[in-house]
Amino acid sequence: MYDIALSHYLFIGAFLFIIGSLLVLTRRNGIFILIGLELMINAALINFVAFSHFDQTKKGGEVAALFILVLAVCASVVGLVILMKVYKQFHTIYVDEVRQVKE
Amino acid sequence: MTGSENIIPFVLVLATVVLPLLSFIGLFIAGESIHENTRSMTATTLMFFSLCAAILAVMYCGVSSQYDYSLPWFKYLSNHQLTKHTLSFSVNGVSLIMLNIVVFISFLVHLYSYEYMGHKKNHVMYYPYLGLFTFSMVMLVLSHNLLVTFISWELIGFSSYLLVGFWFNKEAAAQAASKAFLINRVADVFFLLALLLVFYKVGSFDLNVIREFYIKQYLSGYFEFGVGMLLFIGCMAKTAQFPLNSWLPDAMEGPTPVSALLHAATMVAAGVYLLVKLDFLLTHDVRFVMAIVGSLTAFFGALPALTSFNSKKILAYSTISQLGYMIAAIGCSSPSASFFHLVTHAFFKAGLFLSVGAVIHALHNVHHKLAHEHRFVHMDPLDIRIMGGMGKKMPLVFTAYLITASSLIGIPFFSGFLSKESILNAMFTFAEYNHGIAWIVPVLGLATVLVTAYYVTRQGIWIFMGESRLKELKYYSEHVWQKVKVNQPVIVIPLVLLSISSFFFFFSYNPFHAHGWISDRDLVMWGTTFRVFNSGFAEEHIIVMILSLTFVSLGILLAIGLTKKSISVHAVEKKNNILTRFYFIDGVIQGLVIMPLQKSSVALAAFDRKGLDGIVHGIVYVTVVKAHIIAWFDRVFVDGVISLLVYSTGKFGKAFRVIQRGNVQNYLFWVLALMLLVAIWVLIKGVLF
Repeated sequence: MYDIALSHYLFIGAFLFIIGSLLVLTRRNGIFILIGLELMINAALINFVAFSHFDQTKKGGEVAALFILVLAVCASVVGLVILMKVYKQFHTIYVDEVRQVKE
Repeated sequence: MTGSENIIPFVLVLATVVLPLLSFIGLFIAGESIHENTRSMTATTLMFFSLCAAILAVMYCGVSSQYDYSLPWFKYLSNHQLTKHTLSFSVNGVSLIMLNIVVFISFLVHLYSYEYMGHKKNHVMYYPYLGLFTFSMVMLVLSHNLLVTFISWELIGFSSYLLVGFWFNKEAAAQAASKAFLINRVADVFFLLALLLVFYKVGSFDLNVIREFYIKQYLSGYFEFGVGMLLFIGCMAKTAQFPLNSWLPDAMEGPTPVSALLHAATMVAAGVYLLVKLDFLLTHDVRFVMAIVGSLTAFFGALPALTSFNSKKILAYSTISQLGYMIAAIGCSSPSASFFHLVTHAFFKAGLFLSVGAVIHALHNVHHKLAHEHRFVHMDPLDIRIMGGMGKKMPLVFTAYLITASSLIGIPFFSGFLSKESILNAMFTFAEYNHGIAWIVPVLGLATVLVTAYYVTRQGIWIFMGESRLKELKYYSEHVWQKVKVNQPVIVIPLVLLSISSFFFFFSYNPFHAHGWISDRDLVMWGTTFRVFNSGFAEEHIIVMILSLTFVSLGILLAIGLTKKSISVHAVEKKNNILTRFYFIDGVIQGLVIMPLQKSSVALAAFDRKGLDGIVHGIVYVTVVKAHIIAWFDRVFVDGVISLLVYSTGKFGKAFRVIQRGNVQNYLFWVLALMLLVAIWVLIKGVLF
């Protein structure tokens, strides 16, 4: 039986981070960008949890995970608000149509 | 002041200098505001006092002593040498006699002008000019410093310009004045050169110093000849020698009293006086030239008088002729004879001018009165063709004319005879001594005696004899002529005095031979005696007297015979023959001097226009082209560099502008990419080290 090593957790975290960043970078829809952002934050959360599992004495990692989760939710809320405001202004949530800086 | 300690001659002589100057300055400033007659009287009175001072001076000093005075004038430092110039005056026998002549005749002219110049134009300036002239003449006579002599020489020339051109509104007068002044100026160049040469060698202008130098030091023959020749040429214009004498006939445009003063007695004599005084500067060769030139002038100067119809011009030619005699006498090494003739000539020529002037004045009055009656007669008061019968009308004037004319011709018992004999004797001695071509001098001298006798008698007959030809003029009226009288004292007194002075007794006891009284006094000049009124070292030749008397009688008889036939108002004057045009001297001057000057000035003006202006235009063109080139350079290169910079910056900026397109996700991508690169780099760095 294989024990799950630290590096396996980190790889998953990295993998999720990459997917999240890809979502942020390539999706036109603002909601998907927020989803991607959420994924990136959660990837970082996985990193925290992984390190706390392999830390013998202190179990600070899970607490940090809870905090991060709350923070992520706040960030998402703020992001949604911004998106709502953008929609009010520009009548669209596709970010590539929102440009005031001309070419 | 240094010199003789006797102050009385100095004071008297100073009075003779200052009084005419006062007359000039006073009447120049205040003349306009006082009445014409007051002006005349003031000037005449001042001249009278000047005359008194001169007479007192000669009586006090006598003619045999010399007083030199010198006043400090100015000094300067040059080449570490202090040069002091002094105003030196010399009161000696010769200068005193000359002074008296000048002042006496000037006084008589002042007196005469009271009547002659009354109611004439420009009267305000007449007496001031006369005063200026007298002042400069007196300064010349007394000065013993060559620089002062030169200054007074120039002043005399200038005053003569003012006086000859007195009626300057008349074109002929203005031109005559300029001609006189300019010809004199030309000669003054030579005079100045002589002065400067002497100063260069001697270092001083004072005549005493110069004479010492000449006696004691050896001077090269060329130098002495040069100085003597330059001095003679310098005096040639004033003493009317050929060829610088064409101004004198034209100078008769001036008023007649002016002619009497200037062209008889004083200005023309200034040159002779100077040459007599500076006799030590002349060498044998210079004297030879002077003798030849003088005798030529004497003869050829007299010839135009034979056919001239202008009474004053006849006298002018006569003056030229007599001046020729004077110069020839100096040339024959007899300055004493020359000075003698100068003195006698002053008196009789002035007398001649004033008597002829009385006739002219009468004719002026006639013309004036006829004009008042609206009869405009065309008459020239100087023309002898309209005169005639004046002997009956004005017996006093006629007598004066007879006496002074006889003196001029050289009839015994008159002063002119004595002085002319001295000169002819000197000429004969000169010819005997020098042989050969020198005989031309006495031959011309004797020939001139004949000519002089002829023209003087001719003039006398035309003017004074026969019947008055005035009636033959159109619109003439006889009663006007009856009213004109010429017996005013101011006219008569000068004539009387001058006539008396033309007799022999002032100069000699013997009417035939210059001896006794003044002639035997030893005049002192240069501290040594200068036997005046004697023909110097010459022996008297009896043949001279015989020949001259023969020629005199011949001349008079010829004149009486030939003239009576041709007297007529309608006598025609030949134009353009050699005598009327005065030997074409004016033509020669015009051709040799004036035309080349005018042509060259036209050529220079053309050169200035085309050449110099062309150069200036050329420079302008070159500058404009240069400016265009610089502008092109500026446009292409300097602006080009800037344009290049601007273009490259723009392109560069455009190239990098693509990074910022306003797409947020694009920015995010780059952020992530670069962070990744940094992370990799840190890791690698960490692994390697």
